[in-house]
Amino acid sequence: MKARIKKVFLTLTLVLMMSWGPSAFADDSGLLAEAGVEKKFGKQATAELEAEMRTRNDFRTIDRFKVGAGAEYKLTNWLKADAGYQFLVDNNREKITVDDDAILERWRPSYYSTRHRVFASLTAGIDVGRVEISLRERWQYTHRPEHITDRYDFASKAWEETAVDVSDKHVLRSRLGVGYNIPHCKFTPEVSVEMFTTASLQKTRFTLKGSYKLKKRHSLEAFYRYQSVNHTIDPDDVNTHYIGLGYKFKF
Amino acid sequence: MKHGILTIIATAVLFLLSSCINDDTDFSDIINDGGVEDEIVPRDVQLDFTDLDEGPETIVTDVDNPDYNDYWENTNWSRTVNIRYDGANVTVDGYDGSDVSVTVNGAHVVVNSERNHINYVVSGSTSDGSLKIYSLNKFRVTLDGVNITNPAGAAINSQCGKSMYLHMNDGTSNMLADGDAYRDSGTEDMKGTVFSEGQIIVSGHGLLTISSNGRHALVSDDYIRVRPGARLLINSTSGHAVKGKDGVYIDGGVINATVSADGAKGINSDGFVNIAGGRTTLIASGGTAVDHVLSDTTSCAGVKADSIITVSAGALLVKCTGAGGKGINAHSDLVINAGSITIVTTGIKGDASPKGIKCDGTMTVAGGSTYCYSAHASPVSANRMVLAPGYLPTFIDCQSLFMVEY
Repeated sequence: MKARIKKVFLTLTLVLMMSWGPSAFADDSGLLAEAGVEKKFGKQATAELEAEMRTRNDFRTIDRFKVGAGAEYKLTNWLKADAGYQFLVDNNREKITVDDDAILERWRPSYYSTRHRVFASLTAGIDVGRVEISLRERWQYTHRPEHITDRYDFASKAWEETAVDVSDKHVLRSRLGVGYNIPHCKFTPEVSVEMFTTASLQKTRFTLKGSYKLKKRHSLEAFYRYQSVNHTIDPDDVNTHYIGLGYKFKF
Repeated sequence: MKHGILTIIATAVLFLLSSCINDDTDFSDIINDGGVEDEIVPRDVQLDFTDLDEGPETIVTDVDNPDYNDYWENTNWSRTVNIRYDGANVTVDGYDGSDVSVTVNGAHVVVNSERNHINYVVSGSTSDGSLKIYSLNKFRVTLDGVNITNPAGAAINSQCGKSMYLHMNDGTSNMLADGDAYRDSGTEDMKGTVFSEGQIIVSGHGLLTISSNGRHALVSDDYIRVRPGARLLINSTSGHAVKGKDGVYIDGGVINATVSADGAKGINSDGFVNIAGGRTTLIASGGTAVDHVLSDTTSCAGVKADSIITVSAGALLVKCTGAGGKGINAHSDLVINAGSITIVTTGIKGDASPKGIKCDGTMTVAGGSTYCYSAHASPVSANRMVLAPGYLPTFIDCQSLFMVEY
C-alpha cells in the first residue's frame, strides 16, 4: 500500500511536469519552486527562512524571486499566529498602449523591480477524524518603491524614461484547506482554496497538494495550483496554472 | 524511491534552466538597436498601361441571373446607326425616321428613339461635337476609333433611364473630352464628359480615354459596370473619374485614372463599390474641398462609397498626394476577401486626415494582400476591424504601415 502510494505520488508529479506543453491551456502556466528551512524553538515557536522562484509564459520566462523570513507561535492547540517579511524581485510584464485607431502608441518592455512585503496571520485548525481542516486569515502589506525604466514612443520614434509610481497594497488572504492524514503513511494530500481581497475579490487560488515526508527532517511537496484573476481590477494579469515543487528542511 | 526523487529534482532543474526566454513582443522590425524607427519607404504607385491577361470572359446567359441584362451579347441588336464625325460636320445613317429622329447641329447630334435594340456606331473626330440620346429602351454605343471634344458640355449624354452599353471595338483608340464651362442644360442633368441617367456598362478591348475639365468624367445616375478586357484612361481636373450613384462594379479591365480637383475621387458612389477583377490604378492629387457655408469638408480619395466596399479579386492601387487625401474612404463597411490592395497616401494633414483606409463601419480582411501606407496619419482607421483566422505570412501594423497577406 505504502509503495503504491509512493509510486502514485512520483508518477503523478512526473506526469504533471512532463506532459505540460505550451499549448496545453489557453491561460498561462508556470513552475513554482520553493525551498525552506525551519527551526523549532520549544513546542510552540518556530522560525523559518524561505526562498521561491516562479516562472510564467508556459514555463519559459522567469516571473519572480522571493526570499523571506518568518516566525510562528502556537497560541493554543488549535490556533497559531505567524508573521514575517519577504523581499520580492519581480520580472514585470511589458505594457503596450494603442490609440483609438489601434495604432501603437508606447511600449514599455519588461523590467525587474523589487517589492517589500510584511504579513501577519492567524490560522485555526481542527481534526475531524483523519480529516484536517484549517482556516488561515492573513493580512499582507506590500510596498513597491518608485522605479525608473525605459519606454518607447512610436509617435516620436524615441526611447524615453518613465517612472513606475510607488505602490502600497493591503490584501486580506483567506485560505481554507482540507487535508487527509493517511495512517502510517508519509504522504499527505490536501486541497485548499484561497481568496485575495482588497476592496473586492482580487484573485482566487485553488490548490491540490501532496506532501511527502522523506525522512525526519526532510520533506517534499508537489502541487497543482490554478490562479483565477479578477480582470476588472487588473486587465493585464492572466489566469495561470502552476506546477509547484517544494522542499523543506526542519531542525 | 531515492531514484524517483532525484528524477523529479532533475526535471525541475531542467524546467528552471529553460526559463530564460524574454516574453516581450518582438518590435525589432520597427525599432532598431539605436531605438530609432527605420524610415519606411512606401511602394511606388504609378499608372500601369501594361496588358493584363484576364483570360476568357464568362458571359452570363442565365435569364434569372441579376447580371444578365448587363451583357449586350444577350440582346439582338436589330439596327445599326452609324455616326461619323468629321471636324465641324457629322453624317448619320442607318436610321428609320419613323421611330428614330436625328437632329444635327454642326457636329452635335441629338437622337430621339422610340425603337429598342439600336447599336450606335460612332467614329471620326471633332473638336466641337457631341452625341445626345433620348431613348425609351436600352441601347448600345460602339466606339470605333472616335475622338469627340465638346467644349460646352458632355461628349456623350444619355437621357435614357435604361442601360447604355458603351463598347470599344477591339484595336481602337477612342477619346472623349468636355470643356471647362458647361452650357445651361435646363432641367436635364449633364454631370460629366460621359453621362447617363441609366446604367453604363463598359466593354470591349479597345482603349477609351476620357478627359474632364468641367465636371466629372464617367458618370451614371444609376450604376456603372466595367467588364473584363476594357481599357480606360481617365483624367479629370474638375471632378471624379468614375461616379456611379447606385454603384460601381469593376469586373475586370485595366483602369488608370487621375483626379486633381480638391475633394475629387477616383471612384465615387452613393451606393456600393465592388472590385472583382482587373487592375484599377487611381491617383488623386487634390486637397480637401471646404464648404464654408455648411462647415463641411470633403477630402480627396481613391475610392469612396456610402455603402459597402468589397474587394474580391483583381488589383486596386491608390496613391493620394494632396492634403487630407485618403486611399479608401468607406462610410459603411469594407470587405477584403481576396485580390490585392496597395494604398499610399503622402499628403499632409489639413482640414482632413490623410488616412490610408478610413472605414466608418467594420473592416473585414479575409484574404488577399492589403498594403496600406500613410506618411502623416494612421494607415488604417476603422470603427471595427476583423481579421479572418488563417495563416498570415506577413502582418505589420505600425505607425505608418498596415500590411497583411494571406
